Amino acid sequence: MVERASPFAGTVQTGRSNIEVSAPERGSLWQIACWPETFSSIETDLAQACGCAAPGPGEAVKIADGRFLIRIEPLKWWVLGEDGADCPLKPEADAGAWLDMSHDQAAIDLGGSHARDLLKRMVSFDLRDTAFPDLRFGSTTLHHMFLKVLRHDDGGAPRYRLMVMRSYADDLSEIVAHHMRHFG
Amino acid sequence: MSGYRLPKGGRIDRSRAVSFTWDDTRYMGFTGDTVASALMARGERIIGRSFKYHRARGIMSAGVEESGAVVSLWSDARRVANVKATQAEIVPGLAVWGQNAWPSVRMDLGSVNNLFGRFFAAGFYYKTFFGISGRGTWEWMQFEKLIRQAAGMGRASDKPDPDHYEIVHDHCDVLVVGSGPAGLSAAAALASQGMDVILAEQDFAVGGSILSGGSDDGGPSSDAWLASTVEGLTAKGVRIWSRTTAFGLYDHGVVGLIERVTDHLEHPGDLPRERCRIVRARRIILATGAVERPFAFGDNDRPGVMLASSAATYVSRFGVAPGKRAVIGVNNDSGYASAMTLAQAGVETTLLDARASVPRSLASTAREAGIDVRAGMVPVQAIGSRGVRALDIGRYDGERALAEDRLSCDMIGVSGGWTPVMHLISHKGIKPAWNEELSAFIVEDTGIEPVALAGSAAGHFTTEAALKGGERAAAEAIKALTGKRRTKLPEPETDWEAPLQPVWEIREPDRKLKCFIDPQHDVTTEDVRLAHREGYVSVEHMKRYTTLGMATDQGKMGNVVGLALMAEAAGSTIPETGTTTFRPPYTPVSIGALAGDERGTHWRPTRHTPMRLEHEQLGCKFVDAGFWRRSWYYPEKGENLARAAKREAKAVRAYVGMVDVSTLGKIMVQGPDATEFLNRVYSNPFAKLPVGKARYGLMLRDDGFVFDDGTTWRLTETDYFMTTTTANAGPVMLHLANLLQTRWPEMRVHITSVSDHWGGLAVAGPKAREVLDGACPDIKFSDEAMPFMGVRQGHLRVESGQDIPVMTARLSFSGEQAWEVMAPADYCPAMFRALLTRVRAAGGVPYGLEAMDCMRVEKGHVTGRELDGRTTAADIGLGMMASKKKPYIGRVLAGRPDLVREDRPTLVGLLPVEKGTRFKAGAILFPQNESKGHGLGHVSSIADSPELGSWIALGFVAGGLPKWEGKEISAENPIDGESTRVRVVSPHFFDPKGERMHG
Repeated sequence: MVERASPFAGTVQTGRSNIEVSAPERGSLWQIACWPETFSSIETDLAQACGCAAPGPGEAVKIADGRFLIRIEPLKWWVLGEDGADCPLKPEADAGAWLDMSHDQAAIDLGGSHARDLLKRMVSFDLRDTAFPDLRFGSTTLHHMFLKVLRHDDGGAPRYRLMVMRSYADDLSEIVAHHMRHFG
Repeated sequence: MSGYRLPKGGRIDRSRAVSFTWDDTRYMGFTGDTVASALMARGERIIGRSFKYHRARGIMSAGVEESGAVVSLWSDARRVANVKATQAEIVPGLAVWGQNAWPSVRMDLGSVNNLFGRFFAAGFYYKTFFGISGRGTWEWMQFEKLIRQAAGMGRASDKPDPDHYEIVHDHCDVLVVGSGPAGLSAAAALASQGMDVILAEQDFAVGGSILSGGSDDGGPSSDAWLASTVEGLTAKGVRIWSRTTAFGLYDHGVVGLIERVTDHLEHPGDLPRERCRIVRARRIILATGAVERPFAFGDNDRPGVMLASSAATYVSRFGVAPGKRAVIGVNNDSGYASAMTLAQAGVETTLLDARASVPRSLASTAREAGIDVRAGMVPVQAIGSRGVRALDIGRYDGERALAEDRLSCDMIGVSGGWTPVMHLISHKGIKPAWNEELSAFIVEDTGIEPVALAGSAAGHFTTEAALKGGERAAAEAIKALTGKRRTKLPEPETDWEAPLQPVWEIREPDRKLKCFIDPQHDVTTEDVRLAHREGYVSVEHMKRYTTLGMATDQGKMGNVVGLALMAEAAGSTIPETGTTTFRPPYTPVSIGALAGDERGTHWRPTRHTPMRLEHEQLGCKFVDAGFWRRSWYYPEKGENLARAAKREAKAVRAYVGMVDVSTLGKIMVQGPDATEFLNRVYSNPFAKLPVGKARYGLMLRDDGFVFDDGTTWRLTETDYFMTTTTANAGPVMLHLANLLQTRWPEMRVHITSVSDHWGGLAVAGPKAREVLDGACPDIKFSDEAMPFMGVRQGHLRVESGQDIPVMTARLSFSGEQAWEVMAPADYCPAMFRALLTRVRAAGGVPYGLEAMDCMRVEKGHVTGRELDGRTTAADIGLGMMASKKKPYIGRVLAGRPDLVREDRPTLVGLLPVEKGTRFKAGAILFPQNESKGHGLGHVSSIADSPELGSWIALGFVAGGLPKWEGKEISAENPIDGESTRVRVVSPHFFDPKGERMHG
């Protein structure tokens, strides 16, 4: 397999004691979609194919380390997996659609004790534990960019995966680095 | 000399002296001082100059309502104008400057304006529009410069702001604005029920009115109570934000707040100067307090005249006496407490109560404290232009008073009642109601807004009532959020001993006094009456004509008095007159804070194609195209743009070139109804497009004009890969989503942007096939294997010998034989390197946007310059593409008479009659020697064509080729005064039959 080029021009800043920033390994991203009348069957089949429970709207389920099944829209799921992983479910057109988007997004993981405080400077939605707990997923905008946020805690500490379209990767990295300077 | 530091008392830290400068002179204060208190402690009386008359002004209050002590802070790029000295904390090194004066506020030559005050009455500058002699505009032009120079008071720095700011989003169950007794009691009640609470306080210290008075009995309003309450709130996780002003209330519980982060810090480090907090709260309690209001009397703007409660605040909070001999004029009970505070600090105090019948116990207590209480008396006129020396007083008959005595004094305190601070709820359009008992506007019903008012903001002016009001508002919030029914707490009542007597203005019989109601804008009582006489009978008109309560004041100081006088002039009541609308921000907000981090390189996002580094390594120059950084040209040996682009275009026409087309919008259209969907979206047919073929599509807007164009590749029976122009990638995606969600929700179609999943290169030129043949082991590029518009999926072999997946279609924008090759973005660098090697081996080059644009103009292909939202399919020569058989978006309105008339400007080619003459895009086209009116059309695109050896252009001419082909017209550039004779020709300058493209 040809080595995949990073979407970031340089090294993503790795952070300080209270903010940890890293770029996750480039992996696979499959989108599976269904029609209203095929939702139940696709949801069941997809959960079975992934070996996990089906996530609710705006939620994710951890399949394994670094692998997630996310309900991104009412009729769409994303499956984040390791590089080269095949699509877990390829429904026929009458049942739904599937699409490889493995190169579409650039991601940054944000952790550390001040991760939430930093993220509050980037997104407007409610990040409190009651509203945005572990394995919650949200779509928003950041400075004209579509931004997707997945909370995937690490040992109980909030950890967020920020995903933007690949072409915005350096902007995301710069914005995170810019905000980090306020945290010591 | 008037004010002085008391030997003890106050909430300042006397162990920590702070040095600052006032107009370059060094002063000392203490930590906890404001600029106002520190200057007052040093006996400074003149702190500002008024807007129009340049009258000397001193400290009038102790809060955001300040109208006299308005100053500038810091120097050079950090200079901040129009800061209330009563709000600004002193910090080591702070530079404070007087403003709106020359050479200084103490000696201001501009004060000559005061001598001509009668010419500067309300609306004087509007009258200059008309002019004295009726020559209107001419005279206005003469006045304009002077008026503009005088406007604005302080001067902002014209240098870039060196500070940075940030925007932070927060959420909570309840936001409590204001940390006085009501706010604290509300927060405590909420926190005790587990609510997530934010308590915001605009001051640098929490406590509100407790800081200005308070008791030492340990009960509510004492220092001990304050400390324990704050400690309890902190322990329960309440977020307490001091130095944070709620400046605006918006829809759905959104509140804008400004936090002053570093202004008080000597070493701010990397912290932002201000933080704009956008809080989304489920409920909001406004415990924003009330502003004491003055009443108007003669020369009531002189330094030394201030609000009575503020005078007491300087004693209680800052340990500063505002004078040695004070006269306090009141019309309500609250002024007695202020007078008591002054007297207890050793200030010789006289209290004038406008009420004939004074509150017995209060008066008795005051007299016991040594205060000279005079019932039925009011101030008539302050004496002393640079500072109060005396006060003429008289007996009040309910409207007038004749000066009958003169009291020597160096300060005058005024209390004309209290105005609840309801600016925030006013931002939501909630109208307050007039309360006769309090002589104040009160918000009694916040409607559907999740907002409650508490404390003096709700008209509960005593501490006890405020505490109960806070608890009551908290109970209502808890009930709203939890559904738990709790015992409804009674409405608290303000327990004043004697009712307030409304007093708005003291007039003296047979003598006109200059009585100010908005000192910041030099608005007098006479100005209000003048406005009414001149026909401004609505309060909103009066406000604009007189400038009462505008700008930073926002009606804090004189709004109610102005309304009362307006009502009197109109012969109506105050409720009938109504009130003006307060608008955000409540207090000034730095523009930088609203911009936050979105400045400099973060002004807008930057998008890079996946082959950015490869371009950079070739020395590519980039150009901004929307958010994208696109490869523009690849200079060699000092080439400029023109020479490089020409060389690149020539190489493509002669051999081969490759260009990065990753910025094209790319949308996957999937589902059983995808074909029908595309057939409805595009004006040309898509129903019979076979798998493995692409088709050029023209998309119209609903109104019949061209929206976008691009090619759509059919990958499977139910999967299409649509490309859009770079500029319209987002709008087309939104358009398609809108159609699916609102008009055709029954269609089984999913659309997904894959613009960033795929990167692309276009390989074009006579040797393009030679380049690609062999590059893709499983794709054949012959005419038979891949005819024009053919689509194939396979692999491309890269330098490592490995294969990457690609999609390719035989398309051409340059007019040459060409293929677009798409690869997953992470593999694009490898694709670029592999194809570049082959392109160079064939004598070709990488080319950029400039060369591509030149070649498409040679071919007469349109881009955004032609698809500018005003052109129809027929206008750009593609009318035949639009189907006559099927319905599609835009078809009906495309048939409107104006869109099909024969004389519409349509696409043509333009050649200069004198070869080599350059003309410009945007030039207006006229018939020869008829350069007037709107012309025939315009030049849309231009290029220096290497193939034709001339400048060529595309443009639009009324009547198009049928009317003008071969004829000479004139391209006029009125900006540069250029005129060029051009000949109208076919827009297809090069290879009009497309033989090279198909060959």
